[in-house]
Amino acid sequence: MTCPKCGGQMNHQADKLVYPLTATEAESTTPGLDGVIETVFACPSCGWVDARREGSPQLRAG
Amino acid sequence: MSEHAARLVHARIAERPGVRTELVDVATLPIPVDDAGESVKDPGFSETMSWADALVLVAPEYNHGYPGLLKHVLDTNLKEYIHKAVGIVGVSAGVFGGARVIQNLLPVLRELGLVTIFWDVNFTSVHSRFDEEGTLLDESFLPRIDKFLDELLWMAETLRYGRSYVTIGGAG
Repeated sequence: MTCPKCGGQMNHQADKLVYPLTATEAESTTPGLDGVIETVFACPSCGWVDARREGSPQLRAG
Repeated sequence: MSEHAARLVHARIAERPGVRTELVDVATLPIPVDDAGESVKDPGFSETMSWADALVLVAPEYNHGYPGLLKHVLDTNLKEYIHKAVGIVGVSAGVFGGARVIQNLLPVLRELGLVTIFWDVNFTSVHSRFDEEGTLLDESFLPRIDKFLDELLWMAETLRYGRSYVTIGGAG
């Protein structure tokens, strides 16, 4: 993932399990985990963090 | 009285070389209370949390717990906190110095992805620790605050390195 702030290459630093809050989110629950994996990235150059949810091509709004 | 404690700790952090810090009063954030979680996040607060390497929570204890407003504000972010250091300053009018608010916050912070340090600051009998202008009356608190900050900054620097260069699933 490219850093939206400085253009640096971001590091995949964490996978965080989050729980669905809506029926739509519940439909995308990762099997066996009872939730959705949020993939979290950090930029070594500027420190910015960003994330996306497994199965979603879109970045989550910051 | 928690505001006096927060300003004191903020000033001590600001004295550290290379540290940029910001004091955030959760009571001033324009976060709605008719919903909860990331759907009501404040962009400015989220931006501050995104850039931060560490947080210090200065929390008064009410009925053995944390203020609901603090929890409401913390719940508005998630990715912004992951693998970042957090230390807690407990404040109370009694002799326990917010020990119970600290204990009750720990599982919340863990679930938010924050990494807690093993030093706390406990402002016991807070009404006797500051004057009306917020001047600290008992300087015996200062060495403990400094140890707390030493540990917090070590953890912040270490986690900054980890977030930047250690890939999850790729370590070891």
